[in-house]
Amino acid sequence: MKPVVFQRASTLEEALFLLAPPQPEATVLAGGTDVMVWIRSGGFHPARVVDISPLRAECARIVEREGQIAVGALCTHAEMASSPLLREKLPLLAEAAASVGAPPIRNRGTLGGNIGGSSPAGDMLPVLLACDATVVLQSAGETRRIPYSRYCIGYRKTVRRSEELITEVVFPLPAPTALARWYKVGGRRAQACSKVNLAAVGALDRQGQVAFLRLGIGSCAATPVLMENVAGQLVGCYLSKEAIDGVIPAISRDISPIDDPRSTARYRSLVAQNLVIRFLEELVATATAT
Amino acid sequence: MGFIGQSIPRTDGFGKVTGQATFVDDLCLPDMLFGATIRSDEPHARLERIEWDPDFDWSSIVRVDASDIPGRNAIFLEQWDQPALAQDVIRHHAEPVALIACADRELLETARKHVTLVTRPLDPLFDPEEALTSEIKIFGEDNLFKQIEIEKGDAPGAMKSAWRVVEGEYRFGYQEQMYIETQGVIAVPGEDGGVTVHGSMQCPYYVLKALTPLLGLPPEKVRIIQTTTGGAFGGKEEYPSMLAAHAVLLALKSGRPVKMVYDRAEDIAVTPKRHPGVIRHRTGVDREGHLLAQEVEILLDGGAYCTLSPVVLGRAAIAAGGPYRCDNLKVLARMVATNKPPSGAFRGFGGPQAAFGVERHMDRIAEEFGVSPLEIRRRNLLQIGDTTATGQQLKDSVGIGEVLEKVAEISDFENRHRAYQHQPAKERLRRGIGLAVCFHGGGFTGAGETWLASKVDLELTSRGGVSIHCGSVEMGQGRNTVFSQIAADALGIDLALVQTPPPDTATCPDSGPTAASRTTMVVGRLVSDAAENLLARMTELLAQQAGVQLDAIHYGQGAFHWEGQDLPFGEAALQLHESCGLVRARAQFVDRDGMVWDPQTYRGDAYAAYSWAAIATEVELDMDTCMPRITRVVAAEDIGKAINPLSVEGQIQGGTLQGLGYGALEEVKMENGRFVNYRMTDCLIPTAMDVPDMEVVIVERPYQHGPAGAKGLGELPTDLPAPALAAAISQAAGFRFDEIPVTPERIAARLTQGKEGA
Ligand SMILES: Cc1cc2nc3c(=O)[nH]c(=O)nc-3n(C[C@H](O)[C@H](O)[C@H](O)COP(=O)(O)OP(=O)(O)OC[C@H]3O[C@@H](n4cnc5c(N)ncnc54)[C@H](O)[C@@H]3O)c2cc1C
Repeated sequence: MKPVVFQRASTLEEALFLLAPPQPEATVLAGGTDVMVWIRSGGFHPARVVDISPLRAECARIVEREGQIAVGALCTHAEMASSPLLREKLPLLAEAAASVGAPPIRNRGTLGGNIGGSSPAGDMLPVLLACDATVVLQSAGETRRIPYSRYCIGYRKTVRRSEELITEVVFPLPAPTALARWYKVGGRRAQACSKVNLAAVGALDRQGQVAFLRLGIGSCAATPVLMENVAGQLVGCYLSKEAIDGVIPAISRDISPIDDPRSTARYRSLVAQNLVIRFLEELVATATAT
Repeated sequence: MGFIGQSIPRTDGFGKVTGQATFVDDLCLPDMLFGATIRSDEPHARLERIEWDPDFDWSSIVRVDASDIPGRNAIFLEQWDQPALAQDVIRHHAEPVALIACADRELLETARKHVTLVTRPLDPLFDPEEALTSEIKIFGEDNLFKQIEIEKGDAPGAMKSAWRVVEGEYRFGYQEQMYIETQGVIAVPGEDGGVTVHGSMQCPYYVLKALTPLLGLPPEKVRIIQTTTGGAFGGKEEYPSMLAAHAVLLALKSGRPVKMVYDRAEDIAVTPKRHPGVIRHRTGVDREGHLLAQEVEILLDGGAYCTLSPVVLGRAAIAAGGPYRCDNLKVLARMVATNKPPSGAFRGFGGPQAAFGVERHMDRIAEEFGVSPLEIRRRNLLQIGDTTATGQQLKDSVGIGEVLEKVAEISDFENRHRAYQHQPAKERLRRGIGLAVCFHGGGFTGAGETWLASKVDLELTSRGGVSIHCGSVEMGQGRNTVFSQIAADALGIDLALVQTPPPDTATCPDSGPTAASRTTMVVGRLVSDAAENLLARMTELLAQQAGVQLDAIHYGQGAFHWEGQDLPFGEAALQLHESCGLVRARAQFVDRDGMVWDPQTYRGDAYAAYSWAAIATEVELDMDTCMPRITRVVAAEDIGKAINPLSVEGQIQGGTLQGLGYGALEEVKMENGRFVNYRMTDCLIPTAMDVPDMEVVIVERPYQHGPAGAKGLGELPTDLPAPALAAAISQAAGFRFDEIPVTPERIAARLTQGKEGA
């Protein structure tokens, strides 16, 4: 086995330098909860590893600015789960972070790592889709801002260039009237990869018609999916029983689940339908109640 | 006075919790090599040859294949069929074929890729239902490892006079033991040509008996020492013999110590699991719901080699009819061979499969009768004076009625069961409750204990205490603590004076395998007997030294008394250790129950004592996700005597959780003879977050020959949660589930059956 070149960056600048050409391509290491598993048992042999964990001073903040919330890429799931700011203004993200793995994983795993790996089952990713979050990519030469809905373009394939680092993720603040829900369905109550996960944000207007609806769903396709067919069919409509039942074909068009060792396509379809419908029914119920 | 019955903290607990305990992977010896196993990639093939890449530098690597085996190439247990290294034929995926060892672990991994097995594929046999008639022969002429027939009364005849005959088929999958410490050993070659093995294991003497013929060495040249064992659950009953064989072959060839510790993926992919299979019931019932006749067919999938499968089958056959009175019973049980990794021992040992079949079937009978699951069981439970399937008459220590009534009362079973029958159909959260009862015989079956002739030694230590020597291991179940309590009470001394060194075959007699719920009940009794023998021996020596008659000395209150003298045990022990050197006393098993057993017909006294259990489980099923949440479990278990109530409760909670996992969560999936979810990410077991609210009731109907009345406990709690959970989920879902695990995927498939687009 060839030795691995291991480099630890102490500042963002140094990290970007280490990733920039002409240096050969490197693997970024944040919390390592994915990378170490790939190396240990996934047959992954990186030639060079750049450890960015010392960048926490620069890249692990959670701040509100200009009606948006910016979350640093090196924020851990535990930090997101317990952040007072997130719990108040973006509880969806805090709740999803709290559902990741178990305490040791939540203490190491980061938001940037979740996005970097972009597993179809990644629990942060549906939230990014539902909140219309933007990923900030920085390289020595430029900064790019890419909405997550255009970030992941295939199975674990993203638009990130090898010289780029994810530095932060920017979330527009959801409308105060919006209902936001996180549903995670794993094989057991903790430490479980999602079989289906759904982040849902929506609101009805004063007439009771759907003002907006963003549903991010995971583990139901090669990538996390923004359910555009469902939204397209329902936005501007009343959520009558017929309208809700009528959305099932749109759900099927949005997702393309498969059988794998974790679950079955049939199960995933059923659960995706049921959860979307549950959310729509909750939306109606909350609107009626207020 | 008296430690028995007290919740003494585990004597091994502190060291384990603080990280001081030394597991095999913590041991490092000078010049040690690491071993690795080259395995087949096919389920069935002819092995033509092993190709060692000629362009690779093998100089620092030790290589072993079947031709290096000095003795007989077999891991002896029940049969000689399983080779240590495959030769000529490969019979299952991941079968060991060759071994390599090297001081550098990375190089070892690289070397592994330079070995090629040249094979010619053979048609594989996967379906156990086809095994008997298949053209593919894996074991003998008919792929039958073992067939057991039990006949009591005239079942076919009685079936004719039944008011109704109820039939059912029940299926169950693999279950992985998932001990927290994976399998591991270190083999150390001796200067005398012998070998010492340190390892994580349940049965040091099984390893010894497997290694001596393999190596062609006399037993005194093979020494087995158990290291701290991080869980086993049956999974370290047979497999450590295989792993030890591999490490020893490498150690003998290299002349250096060799460590082999599996990583989790290898451990799950290759070690034996609970037998999957199917059980079919046909039961004739009279108008009052009494069982008139039971016909049971059991088919278990043994995989490619025999391992302990015949014994597992025996347990399943004896328990097949459940703890019910029935004068006419016929059991046909078969263990067949397939081209899969061998199945093997797992806590419960055939019991969970049998209980799943009969308990789900009792629910079906109750349904057909329109009576509650509780009522059908009440009407048929065994009582003192009744005979079991094997014709054994129950004379005492039968707590089944009591455990059932306790569970029924605490769980409010009847009311809840009725209420859940009438819950609204459209609710998102639906509820259900299920019930199960079972029995588990303690110790080896029939004459097994007599045949084992277990021995325990007690020895005076240089510190004025005693140490207990025997082959039974501590594996997390509490053996050290329980043995200490028994010995301390038998000697009337403080717990701190009792030592429990780990088994070492050079210094400890064989007390039989640590299995079959026998360690407290059978070996614990021997500890107490050995203590008595030790006191007698000490009295004899003291009488000699004091020049008095033997009967002038009596022992009481922790001291020897004679002619106005009081010599406390500790002082006597020191004095004798000083003056006489080694003072040891032995106890050997004797059958005090007058067991009569015919292994051919399976008639007679199958077990000296049975433990009894009942459980109720309640679930809330989310109809959107098909995920059941277990909201409450009530378990009552009659184990004779709780030597350590805290430990007992822990065993019951842990065993129950394992049984719940078996029922609705744990699934080892197989494709083309290989396990596909061989990582903990996908091979799920319950976590602490999945533990339901659990109420445990301990019932004590003593067994007169157990230590302080204790019976078997280890396996009992694992036997019965699965059928109760399947019943609860069935009630909640409104569909009957007769196959475990009842996963959300299975529930979803049922709910959407016939519906398109889902
Ligand atoms: C036991 C266990 C349980 C788990 N449970 C869950 C779960 O429930 N839900 C879930 O979603 N995930 C889970 N995971 C996966 C993993 O923990 C998460 O995806 C986590 O967010 C990864 O973060 P990390 O910092 O550890 O990533 P790393 O392993 O350090 O990196 C992951 C990937 O992202 C890249 N990367 C990391 N940071 C950056 C950056 N700033 N810029 C560019 N690229 C970057 C890396 O190069 C790599 O490709 C689990 C993992 C384990 C081992």
